[in-house]
Amino acid sequence: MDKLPVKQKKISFKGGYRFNKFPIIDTNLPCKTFEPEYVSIPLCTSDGQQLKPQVRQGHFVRKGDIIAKPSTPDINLTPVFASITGRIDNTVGAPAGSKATDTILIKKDASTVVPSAQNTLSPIRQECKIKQYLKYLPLLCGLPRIPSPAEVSHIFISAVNIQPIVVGINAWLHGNDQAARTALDFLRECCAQSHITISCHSKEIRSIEKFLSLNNCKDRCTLAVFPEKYPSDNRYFQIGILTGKPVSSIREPIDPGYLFLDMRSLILLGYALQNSAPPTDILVPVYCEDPDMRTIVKIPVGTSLEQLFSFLHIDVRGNRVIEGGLLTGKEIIDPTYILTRSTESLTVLPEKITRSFLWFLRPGRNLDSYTRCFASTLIPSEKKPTTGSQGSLRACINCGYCADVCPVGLYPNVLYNYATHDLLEEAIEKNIDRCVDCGLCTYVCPSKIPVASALYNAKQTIYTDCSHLIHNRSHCL
Amino acid sequence: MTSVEKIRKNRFIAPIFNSLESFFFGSDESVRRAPFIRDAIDLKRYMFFVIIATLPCTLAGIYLYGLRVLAVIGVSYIFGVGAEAVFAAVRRQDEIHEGAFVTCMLYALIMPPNVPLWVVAVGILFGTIFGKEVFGGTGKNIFNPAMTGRLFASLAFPDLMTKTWLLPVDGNLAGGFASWVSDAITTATPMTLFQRSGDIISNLQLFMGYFGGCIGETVKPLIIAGGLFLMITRVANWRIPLATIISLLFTATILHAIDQQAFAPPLFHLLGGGFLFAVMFMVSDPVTTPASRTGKWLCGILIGTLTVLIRTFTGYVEGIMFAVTIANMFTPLIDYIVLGIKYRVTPKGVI
Ligand code: SF4
Ligand code: SF4
Repeated sequence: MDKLPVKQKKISFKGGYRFNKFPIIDTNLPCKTFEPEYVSIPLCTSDGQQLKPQVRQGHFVRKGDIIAKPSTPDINLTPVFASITGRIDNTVGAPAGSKATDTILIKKDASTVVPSAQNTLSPIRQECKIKQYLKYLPLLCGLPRIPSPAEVSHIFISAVNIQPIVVGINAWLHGNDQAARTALDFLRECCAQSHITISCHSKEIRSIEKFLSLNNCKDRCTLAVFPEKYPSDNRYFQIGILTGKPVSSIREPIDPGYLFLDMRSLILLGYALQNSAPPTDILVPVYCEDPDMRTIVKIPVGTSLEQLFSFLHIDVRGNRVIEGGLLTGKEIIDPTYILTRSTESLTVLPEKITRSFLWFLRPGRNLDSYTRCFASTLIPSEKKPTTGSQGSLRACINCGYCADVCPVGLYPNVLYNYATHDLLEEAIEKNIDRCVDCGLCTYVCPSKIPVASALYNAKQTIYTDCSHLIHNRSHCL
Repeated sequence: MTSVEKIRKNRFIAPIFNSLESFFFGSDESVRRAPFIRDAIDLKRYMFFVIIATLPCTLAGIYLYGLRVLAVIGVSYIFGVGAEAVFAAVRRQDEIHEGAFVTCMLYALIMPPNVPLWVVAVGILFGTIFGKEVFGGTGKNIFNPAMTGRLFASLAFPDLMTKTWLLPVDGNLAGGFASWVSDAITTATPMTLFQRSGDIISNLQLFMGYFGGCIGETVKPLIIAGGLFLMITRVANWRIPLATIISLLFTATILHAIDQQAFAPPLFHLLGGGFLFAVMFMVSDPVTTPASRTGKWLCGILIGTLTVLIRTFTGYVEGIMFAVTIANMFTPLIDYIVLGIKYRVTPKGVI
């Protein structure tokens, strides 16, 4: 074997949970590309600020043109770009169910396609290019403002994807590796002072090493090898572990010196660099029960769920569509839902509830459990996740499973009591803000108590109403 | 409205009907909020595993003391689950909560085999109502209901509970399975024997449990197997039982070293009486013991030490009953202190 290209750092942590034998998306096909007939693009930044439209009904726009800008000339805010080439059809009509107040509808207009020329950046000087592309980073990594290369001290690139349905790194890189490499080179170049940490999980060291060995980046890179446990892919959690300073998920944003990109942002940045155009596409891993339908697709921002699913021939009847991971995502009910950069993945989960006679005696070979009460402990077989709650709500029996799995060492059952009795000061004292919203405590609870969502709500209340409590404490820190 | 719907709406029948339905067919709910998938364990299976773990002890109890054991278990279930059902109806719960099934089983197993059935009924009613329901039902109780019931019965009816004990059914291979009740009677268990006369029966005999005692408490290998089963399947936490056993051995060793005649040897404490049964099945009850890991160790140490002290220095040979109940009382305090130390506010902030 070749010499290791990069320094490795093995990470281990208490708690967390290994989802054994859950399906993986590890497609052998390069990711699909879908160009819809129309897109509707919400006019707001990642943190919800409204932007002013720059185009009117009937205007012709090219992919990558600016269609909305901040109303105040704030250089730190990124504009909104057209994601397909076409004609503006409507600038207000927000489709029903969409939270965004304003959207711009662009209809594809094949008749007037002109080769785009004005977006090419190749002749511009290198620093300008860097400046230009740093502008896109907020779009890709959810930062509220544009980072300046000098203040970025750490770049974290996460190639861990365990949610519990794993998206393998090979699936990400298949057909996209060139783009990922371009992006990595760019980041190394522009943030010359920063240290790059690439995280992957233990099973994928080979693949990531293969990828990195082609980039000559031994010097400033560290490979952080995470155990194959959820929530290794959680950004707050990763940064907390890698920097040794727990990140409080209440006190957004993450330190501006930390730049956090996942595999998909890296690839999209790479495409933007390669095409010399703003990143207007998104990559969405799609999971369905049928292994042949699992894929990663590249779509322009603003594609609706309907359009994507009719392209992929996915039937949503009898299924539930979930945006984001299975443990932290949210349900999409409206088929006209618009997929934006916040759509990290789509899961089509069957609404199947198996009821069988004397079910609690069944061996449960394909049931997943933290306890060892099922045959799956002895003979694991492929799990098929469904939405059944697997039991009914009961009072907390203090079993301690939630505390055992909590990756940041909290006692979720105790915090749950505080949260549901409005004892927010006590909750803060017991570090509720360290909770990274991984959802594991709810997952393992035999009493089926929605612990994580209660903690989430309590944190929201703390953040909006009593952030002074947190600040008081942070002064002490 | 179909008759099934009518039953579902009826306040008194609904809990029983729904319990039976979900007991046999499982829950038909699906999750509405993230996380969208859930662990396959639920309280039914969780509690059911405790019952499975006690099954060997139950069979051994029948084998040793006769089929009357089944009547004790039956009465315990009828009154315990009945009380739970009434409270479920009063509280307008959808279902009977599963904790009651375990309580009744454990309670029956710590009763003397020749106890009058009405004492069984009174004890389990007291345990269920005052040990659990007044606090709000399974999960909210401070005391272990089975232990509370047993404690009440032995304090209220000391003569009926401790005067006479059955000796194991003698004779054929079928043992107690072929007879209603054993007719050999003794007046002492190994613990009382030691207290009265200082006689100690051999450790092997204690271990194999061929003597008079409570229904499920005598055959130690089966109890240990049941306890290990619970710990391996993660239904019970291993910390408290381990801490209890270690602290019991430690305290007993010290006392025994001080005076070999007056104080029983540590192994006798470990194997005698209901200690092992209580450790494996009641001390490991999560509801009434601390949530924090350090708290679990502390609580275990408290129980182990108290058991020896009560057995040695008071007239009550079954010290474990009092020890567990006292430790239950201290549980909230232990948790409060441990969490307070773990997340203490120092001049530098919260650690
Ligand atoms: S308390 Fe927060 S960090 Fe801990 S398991 Fe629950 S959701 Fe995850
Ligand atoms: S997992 Fe559920 S029942 Fe167990 S301690 Fe946590 S909240 Fe309570």
